[in-house]
Amino acid sequence: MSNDLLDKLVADAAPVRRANAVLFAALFSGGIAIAAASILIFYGLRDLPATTFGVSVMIWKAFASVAVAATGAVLVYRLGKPGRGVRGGTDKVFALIALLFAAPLVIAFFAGPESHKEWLFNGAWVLDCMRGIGMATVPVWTASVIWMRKAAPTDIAQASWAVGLASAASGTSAFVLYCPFDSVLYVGLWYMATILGIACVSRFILPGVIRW
Amino acid sequence: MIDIGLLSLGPMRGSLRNRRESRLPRSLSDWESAFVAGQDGDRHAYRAFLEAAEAHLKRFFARKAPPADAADLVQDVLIALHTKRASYDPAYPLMPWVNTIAKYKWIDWLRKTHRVTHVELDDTYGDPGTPQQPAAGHAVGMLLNNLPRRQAEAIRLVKLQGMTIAEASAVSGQSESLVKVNIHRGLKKLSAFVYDEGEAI
Repeated sequence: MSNDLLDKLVADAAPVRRANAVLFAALFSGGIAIAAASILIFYGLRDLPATTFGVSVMIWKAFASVAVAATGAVLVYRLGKPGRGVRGGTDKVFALIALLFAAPLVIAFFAGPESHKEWLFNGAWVLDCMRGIGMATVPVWTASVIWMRKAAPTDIAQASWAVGLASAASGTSAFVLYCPFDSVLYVGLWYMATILGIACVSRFILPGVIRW
Repeated sequence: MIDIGLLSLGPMRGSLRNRRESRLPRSLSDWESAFVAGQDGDRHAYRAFLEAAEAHLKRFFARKAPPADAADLVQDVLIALHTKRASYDPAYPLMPWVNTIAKYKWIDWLRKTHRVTHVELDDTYGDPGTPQQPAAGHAVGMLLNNLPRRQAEAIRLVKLQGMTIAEASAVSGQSESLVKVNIHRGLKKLSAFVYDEGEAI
């Protein structure tokens, strides 16, 4: 039965170029570059904050987004390789999100001034931010999916979460270039919600996209 | 065992002992060495890998699918391994990747083959008043012969002759709840029987 098939496969066995870290780095950084460019083109670059507190919040949201994106990117690379060496990898990214976004949000909610809570539900701006982050996420997510299709993932569920988290956090990092809101409550809640929402969407879409 | 010069590819077996053995670096490196050589264009080593992989996959699918489908699945996985061979990095173990592809091919096959449409038996099915009934009624009667007498009687009285549960209870001497239970169980058995026959065809 398979002898003909084996003959054909062996005859077709030309040397191949293996998927490696350079390919991943090129894909992922290319995705981030497109994401940043699209934010600058469609939204523009924000002005520097006028107050020291505003600068602190801007640094915090940039650091938090980049930290989650970098951790996620390492995980996406590793999950493209076979084996079980990354068990609990996505848990660490979720923990990082809790530490860098949820914890400041909770502290600001209970310890901050009452008047700042009106920032939490600023409907029109929330949709605008989600749209911007979503737009910036698409190129990084696409690059990550291309990587996964070229690589050899064995834990599809974890890979799907990781791709969603890393690409959403990268999109968020790009959106920081524009985002004019320097409120811990607003950034903590809506950045986190958008990242987690995109990760959930990725979890359900990606398994259907990765096929051998 | 397949010998290729210094390489000796032992097929992976299902027993715990052999599963332990298969995790030994020596055994894994043999599979990997042959595959990596194949990536570099060594057709001799690549054939040895494919033959060993084919034997492993035949065992993998042996209890998971009927023989004809298992053969197709083995071929699907071998083709997938071949077309995606550039994606394997020799720094990582090979077998988890091979087994993952096999697992997902099997899941795809399960989804495809188990997409069965269930059609409810409608209440008029077998009713002698409808024109197509002689053949259909006869077929249902034949099917009922496969059921225990009391289940067949309950179905015949209520579903074919159109009696109420109370009337069927009075005629058959079964309690009303027993009539309902026998109808439910009987229809379930009939449905399973029809499905099994269809599968056999």
